[in-house]
Amino acid sequence: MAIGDELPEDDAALSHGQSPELLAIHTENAALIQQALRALPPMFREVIVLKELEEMPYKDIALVADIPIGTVMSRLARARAMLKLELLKLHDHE
Amino acid sequence: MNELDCTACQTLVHGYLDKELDTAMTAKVAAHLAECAECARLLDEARLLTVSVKRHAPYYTAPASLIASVFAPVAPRNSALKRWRKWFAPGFSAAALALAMVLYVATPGSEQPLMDEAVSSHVRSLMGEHLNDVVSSDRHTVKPWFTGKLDFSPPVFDYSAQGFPLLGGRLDYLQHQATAALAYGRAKHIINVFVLPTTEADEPPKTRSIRGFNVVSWQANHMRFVLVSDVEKAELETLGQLLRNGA
Repeated sequence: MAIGDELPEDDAALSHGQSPELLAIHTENAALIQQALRALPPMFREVIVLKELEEMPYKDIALVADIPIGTVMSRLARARAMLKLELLKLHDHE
Repeated sequence: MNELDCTACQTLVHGYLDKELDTAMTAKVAAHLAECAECARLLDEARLLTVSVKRHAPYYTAPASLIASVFAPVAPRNSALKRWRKWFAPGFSAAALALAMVLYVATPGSEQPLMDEAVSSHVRSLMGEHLNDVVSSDRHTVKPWFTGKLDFSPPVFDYSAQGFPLLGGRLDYLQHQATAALAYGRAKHIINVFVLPTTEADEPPKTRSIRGFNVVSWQANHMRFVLVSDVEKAELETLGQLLRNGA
């Protein structure tokens, strides 16, 4: 997992990129994040919470959410895309 | 090496971010990301998003009491089930058995059709002139008359002294069996005594009322006795007692 180890190092560098989208996503506004999460349908909010907050591996998410393990990644992809859209919406409203 | 298209990569990028891809796929995605700015941007956005969520989404630790109540009862619940099995399973068995007994007792037994037939036969015997095939109050006339007509020998006695004169006897047919029918008088009433063989064990006398007629029945010595009449229940039971005592 040499590639994986490099990932966090990019983090700080990227936050300087500052496109409007990144600005919206990289918000420091906790209320905004909460609002966006609440706007997600439960099945998508569920995988976000299990992954980001419970920090579960995909196989555990599959167990908890009772979905095939092959579905976890695609659902997480959709959930993150939706969350990004919600954040952009909220950001535009401000 | 990098045959990945962007559509596939848009999903795989998340597995890549979460380090859930196998080595081969990780290499493929990495190669694609090196060439495709669009997918690389997607990965960056996803990474920022996870950081934001991790940092700012409210995370409430469940109160200790809740955790205790969620995890602790796992074992007791199991034992509760066992306790349930221990006490209720026999309970249900007993209930089922009781129900079976009630149904067995309450359901009209095999006796009921015989009693109905006996009552019908009694009524029929009074309708025409066919109460008796052999008219005699002499048991030594009536009893031999049955010989050769039945494969059993019904007890025949005259109870004139006790107020139940023997009027005669006839052949009847109950429950697909040749049956001895003895007619006794009681004042102006007629009492039919049906005697038929049975393989069942002895049974004490039982009195019942069917369509207004009193019926007393019992089983003794592999013979079934059924007394039918419109006389008082007590009187019919008296005759039954006499018959059981013999002469």
